[in-house]
Amino acid sequence: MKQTTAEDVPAEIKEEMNQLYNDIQGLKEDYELVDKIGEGTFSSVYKAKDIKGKICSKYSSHFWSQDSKFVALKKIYVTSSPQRIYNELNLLYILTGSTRVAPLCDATRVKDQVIAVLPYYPHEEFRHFYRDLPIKGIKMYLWELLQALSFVHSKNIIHRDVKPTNFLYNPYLGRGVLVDFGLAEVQTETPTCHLEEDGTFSVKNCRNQEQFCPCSMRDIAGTNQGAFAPMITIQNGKVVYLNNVNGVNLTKGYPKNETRRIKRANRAGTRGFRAPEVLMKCGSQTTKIDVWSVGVILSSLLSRRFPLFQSLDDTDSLLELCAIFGSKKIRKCAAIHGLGFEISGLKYIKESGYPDGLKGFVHDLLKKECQGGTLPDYSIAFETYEYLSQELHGERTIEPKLPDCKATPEGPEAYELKRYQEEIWTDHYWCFQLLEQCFEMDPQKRSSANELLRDAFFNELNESGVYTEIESTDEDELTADGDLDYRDNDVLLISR
Amino acid sequence: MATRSPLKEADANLKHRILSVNDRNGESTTNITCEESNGTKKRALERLDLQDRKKVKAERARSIEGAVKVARTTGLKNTESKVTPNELLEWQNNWKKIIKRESRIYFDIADDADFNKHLKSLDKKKELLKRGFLSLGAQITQFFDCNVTIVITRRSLEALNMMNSSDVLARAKKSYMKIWGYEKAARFLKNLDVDLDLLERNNATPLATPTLSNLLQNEKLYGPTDRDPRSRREDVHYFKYAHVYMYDLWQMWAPIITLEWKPQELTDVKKLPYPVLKMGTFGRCPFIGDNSCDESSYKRVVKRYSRDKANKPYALKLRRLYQDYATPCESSDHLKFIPHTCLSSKQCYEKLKLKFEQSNSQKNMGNCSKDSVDFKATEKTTSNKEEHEKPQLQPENEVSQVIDTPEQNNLPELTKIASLTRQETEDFPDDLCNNKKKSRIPQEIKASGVHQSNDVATSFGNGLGPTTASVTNKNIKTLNRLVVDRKLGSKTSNPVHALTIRSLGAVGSDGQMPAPKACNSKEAVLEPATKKKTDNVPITRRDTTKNAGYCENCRVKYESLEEHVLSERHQSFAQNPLNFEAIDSLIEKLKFQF
Repeated sequence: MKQTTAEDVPAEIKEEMNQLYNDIQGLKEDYELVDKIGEGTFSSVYKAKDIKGKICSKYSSHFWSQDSKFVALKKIYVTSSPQRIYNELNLLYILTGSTRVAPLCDATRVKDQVIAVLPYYPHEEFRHFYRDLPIKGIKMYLWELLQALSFVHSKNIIHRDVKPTNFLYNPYLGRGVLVDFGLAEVQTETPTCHLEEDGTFSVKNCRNQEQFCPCSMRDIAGTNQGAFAPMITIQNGKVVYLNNVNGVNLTKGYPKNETRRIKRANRAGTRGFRAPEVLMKCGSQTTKIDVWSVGVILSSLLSRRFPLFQSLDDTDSLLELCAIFGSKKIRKCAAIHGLGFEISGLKYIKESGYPDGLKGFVHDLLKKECQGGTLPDYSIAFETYEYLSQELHGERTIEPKLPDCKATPEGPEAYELKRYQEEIWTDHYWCFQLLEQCFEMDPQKRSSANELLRDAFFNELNESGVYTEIESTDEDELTADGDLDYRDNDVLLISR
Repeated sequence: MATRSPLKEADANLKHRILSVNDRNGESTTNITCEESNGTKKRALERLDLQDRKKVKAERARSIEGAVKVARTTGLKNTESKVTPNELLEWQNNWKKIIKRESRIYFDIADDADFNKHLKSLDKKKELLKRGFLSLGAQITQFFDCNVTIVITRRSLEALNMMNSSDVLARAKKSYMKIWGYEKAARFLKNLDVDLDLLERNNATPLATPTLSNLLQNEKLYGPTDRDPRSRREDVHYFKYAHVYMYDLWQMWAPIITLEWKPQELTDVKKLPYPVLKMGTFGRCPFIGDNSCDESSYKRVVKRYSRDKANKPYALKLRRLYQDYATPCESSDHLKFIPHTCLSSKQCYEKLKLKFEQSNSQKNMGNCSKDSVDFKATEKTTSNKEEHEKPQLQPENEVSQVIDTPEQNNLPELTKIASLTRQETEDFPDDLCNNKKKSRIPQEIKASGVHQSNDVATSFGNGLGPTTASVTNKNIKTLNRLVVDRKLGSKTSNPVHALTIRSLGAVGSDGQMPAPKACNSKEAVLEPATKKKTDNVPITRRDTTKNAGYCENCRVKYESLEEHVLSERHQSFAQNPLNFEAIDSLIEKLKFQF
């Protein structure tokens, strides 16, 4: 948003930018570095002027304003392996084709230094608007985010790091773009267990494969209880644990001298945004992990808290989920992934989770602020609070009621206000439904981004039909943008 | 027997025949088989043939049903007059497969009364048969259930039809299991070329009477066999106190979480070592809460009030954009506010003001407190704001101006106030009053990096560290942890967790464990130091923490990035274009478009 002038840029950053000019010969001819705009774990991002305007004209549909001259230069740290860098660039390349995903416009390499050129998006920081964004603004934010994810997921790619900092959003324009595919990966085929000659699956053999998780076997092995049940049998009237040579019961304790391997699974992502299956090291993670992250963002927006989870590590993350959803739900979820979960003696972590679930949780968070007077008098959060108070604690009326207070207007104004409130109440209703779907523990039951887009919450946007670009097929894309012809073909080849 | 494989079905006839032969001529067949005890394939074949013919006779005599059946079999018999060696081989192979794959054999334990005399020899025979079947890979079950396919009994099968329906044999018959006598079983094994005599001679029958030495050996290896698996064991750590345990139900992998706290660690409600909902206010993380920040304190109320005032145009603009439609549009005529009964920052401020005015009027103006002066100061700033604010639905340029520099106007004065009042320390983490101004470069929550595992070794520096799948000695782990901790400095090990038991499988790095305060330790430590400096703050901060890391290309940890990049090893990697072939080809494709 801010127009930066040269004086604003601190000396250190100027120094850095000069260094970059030195490192990359020829950079000066195409781009003029303006400022440093971001810094991630694996890269720094600079704002630069596209001197020759090549990129801005070529990718004009991606730029938010038609006369934009700026691009973003992503300097990928040299300690990253070429494979990792290639993975990111290639995914970006595959994902060129949606205006909600930042395309790779250009790239250059000098020795180990790789620079990727992306469009510059004048976005607003999440921290600036998360407390003030009205419900319909939240709707637009989610719409854009889910459209982006729907496109990414359609290419079988998991973003893995969906969070506000990686979704650049401009509330004035109602446009957002998903960035940073540094941790993204192509969803691997679920390793299906080999069908034995006699028609049974040998789940036992799969069990020691890291990429195997019982959660992926449920549809196939519906009859095969062995996939979930611990391998026990009764011999001579005693429970014998088949998997352990010693027949030791390890459900109440762990061996002092552990000889078993530690299961590894891709855990890349940001703390607090990880889905339970990621925390439980599920070997067959799907695009649904991104949908969970959307849920975290949405609850941040609704409860006007950011961050919502502290999550110092994965254990804490799980316990935080327990605190909200209850350890019973987490235990059930663990069982899906072939894990047992015991928790005892922790006073503040309950079996049943937060009273009244997510709604109760958001309500109480807002209530604290309402009682503490920490919201401004013009706050939009009062709407959510009043909605939840009425739904959770009010009488069971469908009709939204204006709270009793002196300021309640009368006459035509009251009528208009009532209509407005009804509209807002409806939005809230569907929004919380959507939130529940994002936070479905079972990844198979959790809705996909595409399904969520068809949710009633987005009715007004689906009806308008203006923003459903994603649903267009590749052919539409080709005719719409003839210039991109050959690239789209390439994309198809690569994404096969 | 739930399913019958076609293979089995094909064999069923053959077996029935053998069985019925057994039934009829009990003694005589046994004699024959006894004579044929060293049977080769060829001899077995002859015998099979003989049995077939006998069976034909026997079944014919039995019933009409049998007759029909026999007619069919004889028909078959006529076309293929003899069982060829090939057929026998096929039969053997089929049966071997069946035995190996799906046979569950149950040895009937009931005995006929008159058998009692040779009990011992029969027991021996049983063991022998068991071993014979085991050598073919069959499964022998202790208990009779519906999955059993073959029942072997030493009772006479003649009375089968008269048996009580609850009898094992009757039930077996009802569910079409095969019921074999010992002789039949022995013959069957012989037909499959299992030499029972050899087995008897070779094996000193460890199954029947285990020797003391191998019992001791087994006990040493696996512990006592009569041990109750639920009983406690020396080599297992059992949870005594409050704990969290997440483990693989199949026990293939090490547990994911093993955490246990001693009661004394859980006594201080304010410093619980696990996440607790503290709720908090003012946009803060509900698991962190407000901590020491008292939002109702005079200073905070004033500060919040001016912050909200400054932010008002921005918030109202968003309201206007999204009042009626999800697609942002300016057109809206006037802003709609649903009345609410909640306390707002403005009310807080006004209440406070009123209180001060009252106390001041009581006290007289002479010894007016500093606080009241402050109030006048804030009054001034806020009234300034008010002027800006009045034309609420006004041009965005003004709005955006305010957005860009939300606090610049009033902050200096606020800090003045801060220095005058005696309140707790400034700068709370996640304080909305500060963060709009502060972040030049958006501070983000660090991605955890690319760890595949929870190894402590990987979760430091730039997060690129390698992952290991090995089972590391616990002591080495602890040492590693210490090394990492020291190097990075910023990761303070928490005294609260000193006693926490965390084993291998425990998720996450111990260095950065819970404890409410630890979360912001980095922030908190750096905060006072950085407070005075202005814009270069983020950079200095980065330098201290980011210099150390791991280079994926050289596979080494480094202390200083700048030094490492210049090292010979790294340079030789960087200079080799072969390493970057894939990237180069992609860049080539991109360049092609222009």
